[in-house]
Amino acid sequence: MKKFWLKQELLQSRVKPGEVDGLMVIADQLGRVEQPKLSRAAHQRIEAATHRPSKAPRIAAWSAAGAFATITLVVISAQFAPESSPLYAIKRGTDDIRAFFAPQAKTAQTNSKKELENIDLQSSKQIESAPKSIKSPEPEKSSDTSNNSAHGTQGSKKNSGKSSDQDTSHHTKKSHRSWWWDSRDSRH
Amino acid sequence: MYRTYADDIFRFLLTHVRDTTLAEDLTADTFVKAWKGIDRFDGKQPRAWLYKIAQNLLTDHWRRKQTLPLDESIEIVDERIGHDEVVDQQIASHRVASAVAKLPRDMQSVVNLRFMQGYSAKQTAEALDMTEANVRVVQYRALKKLKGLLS
Repeated sequence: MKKFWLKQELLQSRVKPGEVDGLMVIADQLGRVEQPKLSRAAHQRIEAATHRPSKAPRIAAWSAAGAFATITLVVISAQFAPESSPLYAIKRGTDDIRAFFAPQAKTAQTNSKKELENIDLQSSKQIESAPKSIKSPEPEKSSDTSNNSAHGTQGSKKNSGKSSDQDTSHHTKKSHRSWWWDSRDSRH
Repeated sequence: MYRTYADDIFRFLLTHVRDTTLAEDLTADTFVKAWKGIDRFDGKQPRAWLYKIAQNLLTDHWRRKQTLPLDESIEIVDERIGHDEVVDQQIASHRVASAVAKLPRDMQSVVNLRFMQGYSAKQTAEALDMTEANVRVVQYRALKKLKGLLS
């Protein structure tokens, strides 16, 4: 195809038809001359000289930093979120993660929680026992109050969990024991 | 643009200077100059723009040297080819390259782009800032002269 076009061009240039074939042979020889390529070292040199740093990595770094800052802000604000807040789920998640990595911290936290619950329980007992001591040395009433207090502890059991079990059981035992003593006295 | 034209520019310069290292240096200079002046480039005919830069660098080079070695030949050896083939190819290439080196510069440019690199008359005209008719005239004269040199 190339030869055809070259022949046409040569004929258009008013070259004699007998001369065209000889020139075509020369053109063919020129086409066979091996064409070297730029060496790899030269390519690297040129690329290094004409290298323009792309803006894409900088944009990616800024967007990553922005995302990180946003996530951090959300997680921190979630730590102070009330239970009704949708952020509370994040707080629970972070608590779970913390417990996974540092179980001691979790037990310390639960211990402190238990202590608080015990304090609450004791104070509630004191409140309940205060009128009892004032009002009655009567056995029936004391059994009633003990029942009430047992009932009351059951109510608080729901809230307090396992830690209060021992105290409440102790308390109910005590009330049963007083009831037993009372009934024994009445029998005698 | 660099990937498309780097080898072509290198071959064009090598045809003129017949020194691989020098041709590589001039190719690098061409692209560095193009890169620096990219703001002034209108985006049309990048080939012509690059060849113009390469030609200007060649002119500067010749001005500095003031001499044009004509008898040296290009020594391009492909080590992958067998020994006999290498010898035959080298002899043929040597003869043709020596003959091309004896042509005037404008003919060398046309011969290189038109016959060695396979550009069309239009592309050659664009690259060398010539008219197509002028390219045809120069190529005819170059072939005629080469025929005389090689026979």
